[in-house]
Amino acid sequence: MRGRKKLYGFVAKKRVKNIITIFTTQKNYAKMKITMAEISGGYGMEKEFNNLLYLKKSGLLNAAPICHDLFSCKRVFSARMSKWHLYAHDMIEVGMITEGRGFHYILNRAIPCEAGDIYITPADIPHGYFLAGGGERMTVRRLFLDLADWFDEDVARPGTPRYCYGAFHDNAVTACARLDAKTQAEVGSYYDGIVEELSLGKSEWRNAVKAQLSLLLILLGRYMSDTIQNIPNMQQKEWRLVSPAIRMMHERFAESALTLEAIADTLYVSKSHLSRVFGSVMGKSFSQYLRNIRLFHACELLKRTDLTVEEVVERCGLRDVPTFYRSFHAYTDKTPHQYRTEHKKTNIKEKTIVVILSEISENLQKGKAKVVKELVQQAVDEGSSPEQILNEGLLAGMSIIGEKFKNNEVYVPEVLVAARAMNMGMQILKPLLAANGVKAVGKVCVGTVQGDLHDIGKNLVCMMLEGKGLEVIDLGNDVPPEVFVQTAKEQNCQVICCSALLTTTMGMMESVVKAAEDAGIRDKVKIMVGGAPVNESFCKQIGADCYTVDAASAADAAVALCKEVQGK
Amino acid sequence: MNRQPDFENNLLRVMNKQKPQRATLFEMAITPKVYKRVLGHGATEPGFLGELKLAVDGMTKLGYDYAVCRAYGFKIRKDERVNYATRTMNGNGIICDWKSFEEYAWPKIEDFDYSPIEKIKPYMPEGMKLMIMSPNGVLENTIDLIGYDNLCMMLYDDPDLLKAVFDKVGSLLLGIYEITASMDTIGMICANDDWGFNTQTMLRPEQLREYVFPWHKKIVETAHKNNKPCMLHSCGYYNDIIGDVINDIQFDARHSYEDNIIPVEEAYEQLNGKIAVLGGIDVHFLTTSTPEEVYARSRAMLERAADRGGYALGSGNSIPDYIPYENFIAMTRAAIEFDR
Repeated sequence: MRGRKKLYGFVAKKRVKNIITIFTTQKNYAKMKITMAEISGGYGMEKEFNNLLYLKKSGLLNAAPICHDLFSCKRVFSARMSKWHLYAHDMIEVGMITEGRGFHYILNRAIPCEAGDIYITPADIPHGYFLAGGGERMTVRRLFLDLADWFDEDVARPGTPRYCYGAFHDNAVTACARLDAKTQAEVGSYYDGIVEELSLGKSEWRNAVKAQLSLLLILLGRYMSDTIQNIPNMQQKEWRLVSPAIRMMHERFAESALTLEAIADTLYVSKSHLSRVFGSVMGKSFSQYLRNIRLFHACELLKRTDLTVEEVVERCGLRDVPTFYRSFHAYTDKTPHQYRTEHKKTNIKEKTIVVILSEISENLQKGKAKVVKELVQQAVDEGSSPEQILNEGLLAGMSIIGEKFKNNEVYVPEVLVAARAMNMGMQILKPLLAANGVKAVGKVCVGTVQGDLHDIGKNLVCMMLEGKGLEVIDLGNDVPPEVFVQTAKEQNCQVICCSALLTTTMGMMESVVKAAEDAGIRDKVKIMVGGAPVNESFCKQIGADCYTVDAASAADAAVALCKEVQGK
Repeated sequence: MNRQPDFENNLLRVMNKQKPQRATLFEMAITPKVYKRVLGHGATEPGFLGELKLAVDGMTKLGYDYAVCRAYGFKIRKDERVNYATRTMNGNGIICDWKSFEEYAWPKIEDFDYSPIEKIKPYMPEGMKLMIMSPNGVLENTIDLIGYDNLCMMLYDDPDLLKAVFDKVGSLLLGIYEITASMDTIGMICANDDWGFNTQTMLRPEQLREYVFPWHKKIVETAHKNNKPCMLHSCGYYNDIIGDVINDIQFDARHSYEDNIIPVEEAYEQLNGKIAVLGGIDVHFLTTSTPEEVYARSRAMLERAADRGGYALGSGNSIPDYIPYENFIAMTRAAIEFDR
């Protein structure tokens, strides 16, 4: 601790056991040089930006008020301080360093950190993790969350009687602790569980995340309780005023009538008091900070839209065009036109990935296997994540094929060549997905029942299942009931799919159901049936779980059933 | 049963979309076990003639106006067929490239002995005719040779080779019909070729039109040239191609209906007046229902078609071993008793 204090001017007001809390003083805040800047560069920014695009497209962005990558936060901006790009966001960040060492820059200070440290940073505080230099490695696992989205307001809001997540107190600029090995492991397992639930989106995922989140917060709250209790009143009071002001500025920057006076009125303080406290805490005047937020958004609009300068000015709540030109130049050292031209390149790259993914999907639908393989490689080279290529390229294409198949717009030959193209793409993606620990949506074993050699329908179902991201174990044809059951048991399949073409062999499906009951796995596995003579009433009669009329519908049903079983 | 075969006034009239003189029966295939049961014996002599005699005796006894005549012994793919009740359509493809196509030992039309089709004439009761059918169809044989999945890929990878295989198979099957259609004993032709699954055709309709239908058109032309009707037996979904079947290829009748696709009652309403409807009592229904239920449905179907014609009663596909004998007889009894 002493070393840290000496080297980085870090002020520790209180040390309890192995826990530290970081406080800011007026003096330190005054030293800050925060400038709003564009989102680029910095620590892992490009990758995170791609994730943002993916999450936005997949709809997860709005669905998950918790995430494990920065740009999934609802609102993110970066702040340039000295040579560092720091970032702020509207969600609480829980960051645990799992390996290596480096610095956690918070506002204008750098705090040495290393494996085992955990930082809880409230919303809207510019901060960032950086390597110590010299090729050293540091891994930070982060969760971003908004307590109010997960818990009742009176539980999530500090200061209320039921508030129980002490470590997430709004009034601390940041809190950190060095976790012991046991707690580290515990926290890590909660992270794993939450991230897995978010990634897989199984049924009841939200409740599962909430449960694990509660346990994580309680664990950290208990661990850090002593620290939180020792926050000086003065700091709490100042931050309590500045924090909502910043939030309002981010939410209402587009209103040209938004002024210091308006916010002060809302917060029931005088204009001069807010101005003074804001300047002392943030090291920048209220008007400068608000202008920077507006200019930051103006940059985004220039980069990502074709809006005219006049329209940008209006949408960002800026005063007038001439003033905008002057402020913009001071902010970026460029004119709006220069800025837009320079960032076209970046836009092209983003667009390129979107175009490649779209081309993967289109060529897959046409069955152009070689082209798909080349495009997948190209997407990898352009920096697209394997999950993104799988979901937005290959599976998106197969999904369209499946829908068209259901509507008789495409026929089996087209499905087969599309599946072949997908397999070619998967040759490149499989090792990358495995390296990233991406798991299949579920596992299904498929076969034609004993006594029946027909396999076209069964093969088609296999392809459709793979096209939905499921792992498929193809048992072939003439499969005895016990082989279905044994495979499901040993391979932890969530679903068994039985196919039959003959009236004489469809009875074997009942034997599969019976075998699953006898093996004691009936409550752990769903059984689907299909084939020419099979229908819904037969499915019910033998006690199977699902019948579908075609292979594409079977794939949809299998995904739902896998999730159901996984959610149990 | 005491029904004298009368092909001309019954099945032929049905094929011409007319009202038959009596309720007419139709089957594409009946298991020899049924013949053995109704006749008390199986084939009395080996070979093609023995098989024909058994069919003639059995179908006469059961009340049919015709007997089924398979092109006995003619096989395009000579291996496999270990278990006829069930087989994979994805078996090892024999033809996978031009070399295997050229080296394949294709059967020759002239090697086939057609004489039993004429020799059987004195044995046939008066008024009876034969229905000639090939050993599977153009698409079925091609799938046998290539494998279905491989065939689908070949559509994109080597369409010329695929066309060559289809054309070779088509020309062989057409050859059988060209020789037999003119024979006096032959009353009608059956082109048997499964084209669909429950929900769609096995190839795109455009692909069927390019590779398969031209050969069926030639088969139908051959039949019509000899003033004989031609029926299609084809399993599976057919909505997208029924226009081709009726208007372009010009089949006279269509056979094979499944309740999971379209019950024959609905199919009859859809097709009556455009093409004759044969059979249609669902095989699964025949297998799992009681004789009373089979009788009731069969009679209701005959009543539905009584005034409009163009219908012959029979199973949706064929009479395999596993359909209970009593149920099959209940169906035929419905036709025989319908006229009383």
